Amino acid sequence: MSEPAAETHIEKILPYREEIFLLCLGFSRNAAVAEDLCQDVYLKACRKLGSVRSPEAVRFWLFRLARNVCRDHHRRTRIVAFDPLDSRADLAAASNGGGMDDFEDRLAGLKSAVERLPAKLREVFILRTYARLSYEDVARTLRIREGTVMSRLHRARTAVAGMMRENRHG
Amino acid sequence: MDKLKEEKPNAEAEADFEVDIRRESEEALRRFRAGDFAGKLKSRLEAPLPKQPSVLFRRTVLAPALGLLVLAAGALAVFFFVARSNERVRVEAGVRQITEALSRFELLPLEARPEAPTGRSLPPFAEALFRKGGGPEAGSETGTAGPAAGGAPLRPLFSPNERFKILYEDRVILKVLTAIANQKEV
Repeated sequence: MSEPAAETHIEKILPYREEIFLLCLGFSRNAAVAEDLCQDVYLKACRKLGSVRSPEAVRFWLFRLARNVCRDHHRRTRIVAFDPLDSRADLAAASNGGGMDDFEDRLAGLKSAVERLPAKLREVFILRTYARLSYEDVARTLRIREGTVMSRLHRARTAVAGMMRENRHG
Repeated sequence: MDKLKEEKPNAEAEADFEVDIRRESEEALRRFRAGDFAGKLKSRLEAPLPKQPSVLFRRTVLAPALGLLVLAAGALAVFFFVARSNERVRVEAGVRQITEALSRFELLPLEARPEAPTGRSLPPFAEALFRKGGGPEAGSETGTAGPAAGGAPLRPLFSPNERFKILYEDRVILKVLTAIANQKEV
């Protein structure tokens, strides 16, 4: 791809970087990995953006691309997925009390709960809760109806809440 | 009311984890904003792409060649399967006809055997498949021919399997007997 074209493409899609980052964060649950994934999404987008015809479709196309990149990453890494030692060590070190411990603990529980959601529910949950997309945007990104988004989101929230409760009680 | 009370902890739990998510993403977003995302991206875009001749080779040469090979193998397999099926059908039809012809000649005395429209009688090598006399009671099976009809009964010289084997091995005999079998009246 020629340089001017790449520059134009970047300018066109750069305003969505925070939403894309949050989406990647939702899938990866790790800020550093999310930033790397975000870079990958943008690199791919710059190379492929020419194939998107309608300018208003660019945003949703970008979300879909990000979702696919994250899914591929998840598929590649799930076999060797593990909790980072430093966060567990921090948790253990802070076990003598303090709000941070509770927060980290809850985040770990949340990560496991989101991970255990079925893929369809997890996608909707992440797009809505992490990337903070509207129902309509989630529906357009996933090419499903808004009613389906609401229903899946409700099921996902209920499931996550249930798993969090289970974690808390034992 | 009781139902609402029961649902309340659930609603609180939902609010809790959503607050946690918001807090986590706010912190991550702050760090993300502090970094130079656009700069990093531009430098990565400016870096030359790694050359991948093997990918090009795979896409332009290897993949089409492999596809053609698979197609050719499939076509060949279908061709052989169909040819084999046709051969089997033809042989089975031939066996049926020859069996009919043999059974007719078997049960008739030599003199009562039909002649071909051209005046030819059963060829000698076809006669060799049978022999006269010594068999079961003449006329006992057919009720149409026997000593009274003026000839000794014919008995198969070979067992059915042997006869068929001979017929299969000798295409000329096969043709002749098929032609005989095609004659209308016996």
